[in-house]
Amino acid sequence: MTAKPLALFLAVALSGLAGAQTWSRSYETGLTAARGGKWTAAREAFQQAVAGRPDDRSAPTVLPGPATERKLWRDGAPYSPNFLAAYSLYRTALSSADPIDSAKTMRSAAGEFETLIAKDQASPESFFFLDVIYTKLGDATKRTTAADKMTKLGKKVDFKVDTEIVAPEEIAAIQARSGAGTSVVTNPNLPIAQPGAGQPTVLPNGVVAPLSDKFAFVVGQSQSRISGGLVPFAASDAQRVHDALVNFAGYPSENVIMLQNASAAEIQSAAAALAKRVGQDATVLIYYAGAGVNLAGKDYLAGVDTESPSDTASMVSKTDLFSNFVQRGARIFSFFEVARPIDANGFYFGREVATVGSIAQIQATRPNAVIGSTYRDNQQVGLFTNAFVQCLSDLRSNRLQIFEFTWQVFFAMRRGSSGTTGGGTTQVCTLPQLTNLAADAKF
Amino acid sequence: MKKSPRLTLALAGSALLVAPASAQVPDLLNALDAGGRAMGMGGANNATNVDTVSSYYNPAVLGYMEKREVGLTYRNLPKSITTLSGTRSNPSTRSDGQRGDLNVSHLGYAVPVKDLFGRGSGTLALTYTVGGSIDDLAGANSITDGPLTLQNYRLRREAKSSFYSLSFGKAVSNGFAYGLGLVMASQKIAYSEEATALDGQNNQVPFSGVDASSTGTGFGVIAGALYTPTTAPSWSFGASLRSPINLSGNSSTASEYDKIPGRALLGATWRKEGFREGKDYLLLGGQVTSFFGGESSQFFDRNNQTIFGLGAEYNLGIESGRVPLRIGFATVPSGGDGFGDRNTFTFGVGYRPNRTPVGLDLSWAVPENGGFDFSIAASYRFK
Repeated sequence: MTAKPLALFLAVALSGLAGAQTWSRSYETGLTAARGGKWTAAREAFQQAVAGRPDDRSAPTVLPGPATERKLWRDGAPYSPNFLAAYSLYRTALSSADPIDSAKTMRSAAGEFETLIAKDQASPESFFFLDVIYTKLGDATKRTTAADKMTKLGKKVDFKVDTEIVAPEEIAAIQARSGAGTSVVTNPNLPIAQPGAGQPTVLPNGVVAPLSDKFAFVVGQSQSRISGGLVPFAASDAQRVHDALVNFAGYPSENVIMLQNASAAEIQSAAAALAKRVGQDATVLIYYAGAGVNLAGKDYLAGVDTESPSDTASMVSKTDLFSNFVQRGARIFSFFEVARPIDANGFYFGREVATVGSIAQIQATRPNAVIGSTYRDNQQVGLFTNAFVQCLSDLRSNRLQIFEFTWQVFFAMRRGSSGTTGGGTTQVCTLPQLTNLAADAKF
Repeated sequence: MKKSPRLTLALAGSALLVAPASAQVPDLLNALDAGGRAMGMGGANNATNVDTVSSYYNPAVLGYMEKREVGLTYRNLPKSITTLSGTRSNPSTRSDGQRGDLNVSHLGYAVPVKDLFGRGSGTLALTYTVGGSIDDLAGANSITDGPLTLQNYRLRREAKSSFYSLSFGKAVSNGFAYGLGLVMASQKIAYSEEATALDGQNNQVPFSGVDASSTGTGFGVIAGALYTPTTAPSWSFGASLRSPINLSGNSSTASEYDKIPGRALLGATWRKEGFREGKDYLLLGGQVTSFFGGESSQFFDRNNQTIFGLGAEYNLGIESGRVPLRIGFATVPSGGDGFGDRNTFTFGVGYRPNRTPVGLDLSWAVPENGGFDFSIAASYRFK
């Protein structure tokens, strides 16, 4: 009696199971192949994904599951098999030894990027690769046409694509091109550029000549009580940065304030005291290593006494910290060695954009990534700090261009401070987010 | 004097919450909500909600639990006081609901198969859930029993249904998940009468009241399904079917209650995103539960019974997490002779911090026949 309705119920329930969801598996296969540099296989897998689910999608894909607890496919990443198939083709062309075959493949890839744009899926990435391809092909007409189209579309170039397998230097170049509007793409294969205005800066003792209008505020917080936000080498990183600024970047030692494992009150107090000495158009470099959080879009720096990520009373608002120096008319160049996990509401440290003052902000890593480290002189050091100090040491100037300098830090991180080309790493810094500052503003 | 609309609404609401006496014992013999998140929504999303109590309501949902989870719920087990008049064999009744003591109403642990065996998919759950409860004390100063007069007559009826479930759920594809489970029920039944019996000449005579108590056990199976259309992921539909459970080891009460009715459950939940610039979202749910296959008896009579739940959950995004605010209505009609309706307005509040995988839910229900239900539930999802 009971068995019959149960059997009927199961039959009805299981009858809907036909038609497996293969596009997701094909997509993942494509990503895996691409990570291994198998671009042909990657393209085939992405095309298989297209067969199961044809169109790219900018918005997150909601995974099948109860509406009571929504889950997003790949943490909300766009679904971009067509874009990635085109990108894989482009990468295949790059690796081709036959120039004729390479050019032919490049044209095919360009055609696929053009198709995506024609389907109202205009992304900065597609335009970027069109630009790169037409430049490589020497096709100035098509390059100009694509650029004009991008200009004409303006803010409509907003289709999001999955950049999981796009090379970090390409991502950085795309961000620079679409964000700041200043395409400062440095060729990583060139020797390190000489920044600044050519001033004789290095003193006979090897120390870069200090400039009295340069100030620095360096904070290293190793002893965070916030779970997940610990940067255990932050205090020693602060010391390295302090020394590098004084020796290699022209910051007078008396103008450099360094705090290690300080409370929020101590940070604010020291910043306010330093700000009193800062004049109009002075340069203020802020370097913060430690825990940071973003609460509802607002960035906070954790004091050593901060107990929880929501304990804003024991944190310093990033805007408040900036405000000390903004009110004095200084230009701020800020660097943050802070982990950037994305919380359930999509917030992460560094998301807050400054609107007042002249400010450059550089993050040690991309969103949803942690802070990595290595060892130097038998001491643990953050990858970002390591590259930052290395670049200061290499460049030795008291007038460094912010964008150029950050590119150098980027490539130093990318290469793990080894070799001169390519590279692979788990962490690269962001390019500067500029507010009322030029890309070649000097610090 | 002209009343403002707001005042009128407030008075109407108060009137609804005033506890009128029910004609008969509020019927929670089979339809006790185990508490937790769904209780605040009138039980409207038990079929689609992802937590360990899914093992009891709809094991298919377990298929979407990708991490180990433990859940614990306390809730009151309602009581009632019934005033009798008329005759013992066919009394007139008037029942008032009482709150009752807090008890563990659910304890569960869910673990993905992969975590247990290193491979495989789906999730297993082992849970204890209280699914039914009656605790009624009926009495009369004087009631007739044929030629006799019964003074200080008392009739006590107690029942508590505890379910131990071992369930498995698995998400398959295209938005489908299925679940299966083995249910062991432990059913306490007790009833007793006492009175001073007087004959026509007011002489005391022996009173032959009933007095029986036992706890029977039995086994049943449960199967469930969950469907979220890939083309309309804002909707989820859940269904489950639990077999009737024949009890054993209950010889002294078998004549009154020997079979726990089967249960068919069908629910739907709809999600609306985009409130307050995407910070908030809303869930609306509805559920129908039908109990079938019970047996007739004097004290614990069972007919087919269908209950409904409707509810809403507004998820407020705040800096530190999410605060679900819930409201609902549950209607439980009589499931047998001697039992009455138990309709409740429900509300609840929860908290889901961003950075810690815990859940906390407080729920309240205001039955129309008096009393006040409360549950507190906590869950932890292992990292």
